[in-house]
Amino acid sequence: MSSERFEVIFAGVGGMGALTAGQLLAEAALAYYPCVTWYPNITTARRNAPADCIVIYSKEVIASPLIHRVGAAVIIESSQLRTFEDRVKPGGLVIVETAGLKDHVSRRDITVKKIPGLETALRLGNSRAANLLMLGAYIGSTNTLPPELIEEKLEDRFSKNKKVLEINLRAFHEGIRLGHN
Amino acid sequence: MTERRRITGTPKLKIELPVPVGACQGCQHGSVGRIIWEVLEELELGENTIWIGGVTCGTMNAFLSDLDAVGPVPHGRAPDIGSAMKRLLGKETIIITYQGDGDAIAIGTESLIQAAARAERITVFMANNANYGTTGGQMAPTTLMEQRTTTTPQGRGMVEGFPINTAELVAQLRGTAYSARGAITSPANYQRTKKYVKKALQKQIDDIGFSFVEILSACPPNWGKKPVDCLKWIDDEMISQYPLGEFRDLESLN
Amino acid sequence: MNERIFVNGNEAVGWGALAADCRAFFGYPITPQNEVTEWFAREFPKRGRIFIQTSSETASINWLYGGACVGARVMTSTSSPGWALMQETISHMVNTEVPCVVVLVQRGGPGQGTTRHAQMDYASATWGGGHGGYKNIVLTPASAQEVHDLMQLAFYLADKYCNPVIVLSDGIIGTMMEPIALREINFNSLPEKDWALRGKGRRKDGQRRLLSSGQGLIPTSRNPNYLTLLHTLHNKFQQMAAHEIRYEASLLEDAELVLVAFGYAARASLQAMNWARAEGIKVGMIRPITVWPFPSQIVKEEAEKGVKFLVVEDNLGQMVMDVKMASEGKAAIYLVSALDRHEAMEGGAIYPEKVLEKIKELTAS
Repeated sequence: MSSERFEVIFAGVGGMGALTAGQLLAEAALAYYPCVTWYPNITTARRNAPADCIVIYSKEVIASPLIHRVGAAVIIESSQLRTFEDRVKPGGLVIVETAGLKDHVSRRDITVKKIPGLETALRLGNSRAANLLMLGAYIGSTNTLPPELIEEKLEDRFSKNKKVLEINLRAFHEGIRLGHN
Repeated sequence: MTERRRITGTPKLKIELPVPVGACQGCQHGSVGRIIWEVLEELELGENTIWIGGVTCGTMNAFLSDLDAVGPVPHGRAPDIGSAMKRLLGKETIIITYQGDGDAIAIGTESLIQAAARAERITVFMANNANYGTTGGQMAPTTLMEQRTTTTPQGRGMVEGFPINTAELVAQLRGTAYSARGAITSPANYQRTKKYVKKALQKQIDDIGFSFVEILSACPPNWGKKPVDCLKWIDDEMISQYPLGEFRDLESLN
Repeated sequence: MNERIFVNGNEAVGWGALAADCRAFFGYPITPQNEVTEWFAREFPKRGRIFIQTSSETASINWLYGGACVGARVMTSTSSPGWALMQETISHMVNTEVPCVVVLVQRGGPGQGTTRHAQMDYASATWGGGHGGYKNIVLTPASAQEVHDLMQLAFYLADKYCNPVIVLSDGIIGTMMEPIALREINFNSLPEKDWALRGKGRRKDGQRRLLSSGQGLIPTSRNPNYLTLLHTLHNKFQQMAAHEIRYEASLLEDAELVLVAFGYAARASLQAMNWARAEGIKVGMIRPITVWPFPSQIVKEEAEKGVKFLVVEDNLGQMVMDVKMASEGKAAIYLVSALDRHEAMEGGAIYPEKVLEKIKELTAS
C-alpha cells in the first residue's frame, strides 16, 4: 500500500455498527488527509440486512467514492465474508470476525486476519463494542492513522455516557493489540 | 378594534378592469365577492390583505380586488399557498382564499383539512354551488343526492355516494377557530352571511386559529334554472342538506 | 472564513441554502433525501428561519408557490416519486414567473422502484416534467462541495430568471460524506422583487400587485395576452440557453474517446479516466454541470474532431439522447447504463471498474 491513499470497506448487517466504525475512521482521517470519502451502502430494511461502507482517505483528490476493489475489508459479520472477499485487491487485507465463521477464504493473494471481536467485546462487558474492536484491529494491522485520532472521535461521540465510552475505548485498544499480532 | 363603518354603493376595494369580466346572469360569485370586499373595507384591511383565487369561476374576484392578489393558483392548493404566505409575512398580513367546492373539498381536500388541522391563521371562503361551474356543470363533491349534472345524467346515486358537508367537517378539526355556512338568497341571509365573514376574518386578526365560511351560491346556467328559481332551489333543496349557521366559534384553541 | 466540515451531500444542501439566505424550507420525508429534511428541521428554526413538514409533495411545492409569490427565497427537496407529484405546480410557477429551488435526490424507478440511488429522472427534469413544455435550469452536482456551491447558484439563477431551478442530485451524492468548505459565493446584484405580494400598504407606490399562473388567460401587467406570454417564456428560455451553460472538460486535447457523465456516474467515470490515462489510453471527459441547458457546443466540437463518445449514466439511456442530438450524427456514441450495475440488488451501481472495462473495449486495436 502507498502511504498516499487508503481504501477500506466495513461490512456487517444493520445494527452492528459497521457504518459507525467507518465514519469514526473517516472523521479521524480528516486530520491527516485532505481528501476523505465515506459512502454507505444500506438496503431499505435497516435491521439485520447487509450494510457496508467504503472509506477512502487520500493525499490526492478522490475521483470516485465508489470503487469495486479496495485495499482492505473489515468483515464485522462473518456471513458477509463470501460477498466481500472478492472486493479486496490482490495483496490486500481481510479482517474477519471469527464468531459464526463458516466460510474459508479461497483466495491466496490476500492476507486474512481472524479476530474474535464479539467474544472479546462480550468479555469486556458489551457485545455492541465489537465494531470498535474490529476498527482497532484494522488500525493495529495497518498503522494508517495514529490511534489517538480515533480515540478523540470516540470521546466526542460518547461524551454523554462515560460507561459506554470506557468500554468502547477498551474494545478499541484490545482490537489494536489483536491487530498487531 | 377598528371603528365600524357602514359601506354603501360599490365597495371601494372592487375595481373595474380595462377588459370586460363576464359572468352568467344570476351567478352569485359577484355577490359573495362583494360581501368580502365590504367586510375588508369595514375592517380596514385593504392595505395588508392578500387574496388567493382558487380554480373557480369566482377566481375573477381576485382580479377585481384592489388588493395584492394571486390566481388562479394550482387546483385545490390555495390553503397551502396561503399558509406559506402567512408564515413568511407574519400576523400583520391577512390571507384569504376564495375557492369553489370542487377546488376545496375534492381535489383540494388535503390542502384544506391540513391547513385547518395546523390552525393556520388564514381564512378560507368556499362558494358551494353543488356542481363544477367552470367546466360546464359536472358533479361536485357537494352535488345533492338525485341532482342531475352532466356527469350524473340520471341523478346522483349510490354509484357516486354522498355529498360532503364541508363546514361541519372543518368544524371537527382542533385547529379550526371558526366555521360557518351562509346563503345569500334574501337580504336577511345576506346580512347573516356578512356577519359570518366578518367573524371569520376577526378570528384571523385576533390570531386564534383557522377560519372557514361556506357560502351557498347559485349557478343558473348549469342548474338549468332562471336566477330567481335558483334562489328558491337553494332555500328548498340545498339548505336541507347544507343547514345554515355557525358550527364552531372559539375564543381560543384548546 | 472557510470552515471545513465533514457532511454528506444531503446536508450540504442545507449549508448551501443557508449561505444563499434561503428563508424557508417546505418538505415531505422520502428516502434517500431524508437528511435534507432533517437538516432543515434541526438547523432552520433556531436561526429564525422556517421549516415546515408538509402533508405531501404536492403540498410542498404549493407552499413553495406561496413563498415565492411573497418574494422569499424558498426551497424543497424530494426524491423521484415526490418529484413526479410536484410537476403541475412547477409548471404553474413557470407561468407565474416566480423563483424557487427544488432539490431532486434521484432514486431507482419506475414506480416505487428502489429507495437507493439512480439517475432516472434526467429526462423528466431536463425536458420540463410537467405540462406545457417549459424549461428549468437543471444543475447537477458531483460532490458534497459542489452541492453546497450549486445551491447558492441555484437561488441566484432562480431569482435572476424568475423561474424554478432544479438541483439534480442522486442517492450516492446525497448520502456520501466528504469534507466541504463553507463559503459564501458572491453573485451580481439583482433587482428588488417589486412584483412580490406583501399587501399594497407595504409598498411605496401603494398600488396592488397581481400574480397569476393563468398568464395568457388573464391579462397581467407583464403579459397582456397569451402570445405575449409565449414570447416572454421563449425569450427567457433562450437567454438561459445562451448564458447559463456550465460544464467541466478534462483532457480533451488528445482524447480519442470522450466520456460524458454527470452526478455520481461522473465520479466513477473520472476514476476510470485516471486509470486509463495511467495506462496511456487517450481518454477525456465532459461533465455537464447544467444538463439543461446542455453543453451541446463542446460535444459538437469534439464530434467534429472525430472522437468516440462513451456516455455513462445510471438509467436506461437518457442523456445519451442529448449527446446524440449535439453530435449531429458525426460521432459514434456508446453507453454504460443501469444495465451495467455491479450487482443485481438495489445497491448495485456503476463502478469505475466497469467504465474502465468499456473504455478498453472501445480503444482496443
